[in-house]
Amino acid sequence: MESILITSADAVWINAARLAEELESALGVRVAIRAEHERGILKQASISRADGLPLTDGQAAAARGVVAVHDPARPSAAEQTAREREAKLAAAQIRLAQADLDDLRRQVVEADSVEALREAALKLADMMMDMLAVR
Amino acid sequence: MAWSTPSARTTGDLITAAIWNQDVVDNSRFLHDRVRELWIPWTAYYGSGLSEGNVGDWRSVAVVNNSINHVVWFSFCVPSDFASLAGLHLLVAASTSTTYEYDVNTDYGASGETYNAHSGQAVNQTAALTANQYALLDLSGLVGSLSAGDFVGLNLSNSNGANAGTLHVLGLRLRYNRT
Repeated sequence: MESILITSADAVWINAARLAEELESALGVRVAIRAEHERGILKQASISRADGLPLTDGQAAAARGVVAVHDPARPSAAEQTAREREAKLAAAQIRLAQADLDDLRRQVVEADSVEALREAALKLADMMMDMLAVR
Repeated sequence: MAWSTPSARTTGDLITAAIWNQDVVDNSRFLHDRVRELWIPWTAYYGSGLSEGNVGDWRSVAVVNNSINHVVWFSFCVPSDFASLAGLHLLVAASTSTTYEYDVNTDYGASGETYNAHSGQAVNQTAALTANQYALLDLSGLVGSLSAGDFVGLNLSNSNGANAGTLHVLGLRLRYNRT
């Protein structure tokens, strides 16, 4: 069959990105999903093979099995990466907002040893990395 | 129904029902029934290595197919004379001929509703694209509950596909029938 259709009778709601990962893992093929939700309830979703080939009966049955145990609250790998990136960005923004540039400048100017200069340079490097992260 | 350019009439001209219907009724209908279009440029983008640049005289965001989390956002309000959807399409141009893989997510709703009262997701979609040609990606199926006055947020992202290629994202086109 070309694709399978699922409704709220199969799953109240789905995380299409996460479900696509679960299906790819179970079926061994990349799948395409189109889904619509209305007020948090799945209206309809279609699941097909991303390469355009039809799903075999076995794949369709396996896909329905995956849908039945799908946990939409779990983020997909891409969503997890995006969340981690957002968290890193927020942390960098906080560090930059709190950075004391005058103090850093003083540390460089008044460094009386290689070790002190090294420490100031490392702080500067960290700040540069934060700036690159948020640019 | 086609447009018929009305002739200028002068005092004393006979206006028959046929003339009235052609000049006034049919032309009014034609004007009303034309599919309206709304052009929506991208508003923001995010992703490591993702950048905006020029494609000819366009300003585009260059989403790399096999990269991670390249996202381009759009937002718009559905016009108050919206009656039904005639089409929602994303205009893109690929840098190389390839089968591009992409995801689209949208949340929309009216003032007073939760931000995701309605939502659509399309994951691992594919589009066979020819280098440097305009192409329209059909997103109509993701916004089946669209109504006049809805506020729409929509984003396109690459889906970490296997095929190398860069998608220049140019804009979004809403086509609709009027009330």
